[in-house]
Amino acid sequence: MAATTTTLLTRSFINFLSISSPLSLQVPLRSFHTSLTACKYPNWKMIKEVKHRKIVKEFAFERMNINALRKNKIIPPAIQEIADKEIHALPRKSSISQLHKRCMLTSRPRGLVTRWRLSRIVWRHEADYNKLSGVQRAMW
Amino acid sequence: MTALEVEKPLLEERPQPSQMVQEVCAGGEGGKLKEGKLTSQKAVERVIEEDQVAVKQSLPEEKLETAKDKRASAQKKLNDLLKSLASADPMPMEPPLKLSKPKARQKKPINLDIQDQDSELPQPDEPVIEPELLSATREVAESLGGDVAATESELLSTLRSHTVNGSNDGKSSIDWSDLFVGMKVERTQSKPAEALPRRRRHHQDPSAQRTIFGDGVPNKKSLPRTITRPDPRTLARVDIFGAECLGIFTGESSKVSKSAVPASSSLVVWEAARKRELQQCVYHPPDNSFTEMIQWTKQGKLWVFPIDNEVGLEEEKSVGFHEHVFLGHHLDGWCPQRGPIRHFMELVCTGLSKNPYMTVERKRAHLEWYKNYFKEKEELLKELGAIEATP
Repeated sequence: MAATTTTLLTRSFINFLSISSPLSLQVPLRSFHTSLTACKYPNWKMIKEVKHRKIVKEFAFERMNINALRKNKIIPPAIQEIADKEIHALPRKSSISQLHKRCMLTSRPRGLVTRWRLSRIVWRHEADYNKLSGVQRAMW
Repeated sequence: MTALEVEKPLLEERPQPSQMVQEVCAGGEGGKLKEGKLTSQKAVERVIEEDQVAVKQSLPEEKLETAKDKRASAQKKLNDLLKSLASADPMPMEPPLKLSKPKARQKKPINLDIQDQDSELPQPDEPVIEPELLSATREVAESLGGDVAATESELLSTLRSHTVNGSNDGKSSIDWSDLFVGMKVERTQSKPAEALPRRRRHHQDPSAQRTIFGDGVPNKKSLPRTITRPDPRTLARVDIFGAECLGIFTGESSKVSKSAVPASSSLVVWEAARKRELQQCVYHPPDNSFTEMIQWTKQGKLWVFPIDNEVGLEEEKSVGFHEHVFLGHHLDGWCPQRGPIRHFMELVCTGLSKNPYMTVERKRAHLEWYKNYFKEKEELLKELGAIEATP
């Protein structure tokens, strides 16, 4: 057990060394934990959200098809019931409605401006510094 | 004045101080009183003093006369001094030093074979001066002006000296050695190159006193301002063809082993770290945000300006709209001609044809999924009566 952990650690470190090099010299590697996820997002909650969205993406195709079967009055209800069960069997996190949006920069769960994926505070800040295209202070 | 004359006034009467005062005033001493600077009181005092002095001396009449004589002599002396000062001649000049003058050396003639020499100079062929030269000298003297005879005589004397010396030698020999007879040639040993001072300012005072003053801090001026390059004269001579060729630039480096550690070493982490270090040496981060943005754009992280909405959809341009719109043929073969399934699938096809954002492959995949799904549910569908159980 210890040996395997050490080998994993060394491998991860090696990967870190090789991948932490400048992006222009990136070498594709097939292994786990190739990059430090913690450095990419402001919050661990945000990281969980990212994982959630990945699962959503994975099952999106299937879910859409099944929902299309369910949400109509043409398909016989028997099949629709089966479809209900099928969709219920899919992981809960694969549902879009289960996602909780967060601000991309601050990971704020509430007060978001959807189009820019930012919280209202960050949105205001960026708008004041002229970073948002077409956004202007209201004046009438 | 005789003694008899002196005795007479004494016998008659003794002069009184008032009379003395008058006499004094009339006498030469009155000059002081005439100046007016002295006050009347002072003058009186002085007079009284003189009177007392005179009284002491004036017992015999002779003494009066001697005082007068003295006064007169003193006056005379004064006058003489003044006269001498007025008409004093300047300090009498001492006889000037007789400095030694250099001897008038006789110039030795340099017999050169110069053909174009002017005839102004005397030719040393004949001892006797030619009459032409004499007339020429006379004319020159007259033109110069001043003492004609003196100049003429001088010129003639010089001519004679030239003729006397250079008359015998008719050869055109260049006696340069005569010039160097009296001169001494300095023979300095060739100094070694190292001894030559390269920077004289620092060799002026090599003692430590110059570099370090009382503070103990070295003087800034004494320290060399610029980096002293190695003196090329002191560097050792290197023979570049003495050793074997390393072959660094000729591509023979593959023969040379780069690292002593073998490739299959257990130091995996160390190797990785070494590789990373090499990469870091080669790679330089961007200088500023502009270059950083350029880098990101090349990597595909940033939008390329001018903005193209169909970035990443280059392959879709080759796909025609008919493939997007006409999806009915995908239902052929498996989908029943009538029934709820058909209805559903046609709706699906219509929806997909209206979707411009999906790729054709994805649309086909959707249809394929339904095909598989309904194939699994075929028995159930038949029981329900959705699919007509036709052979």
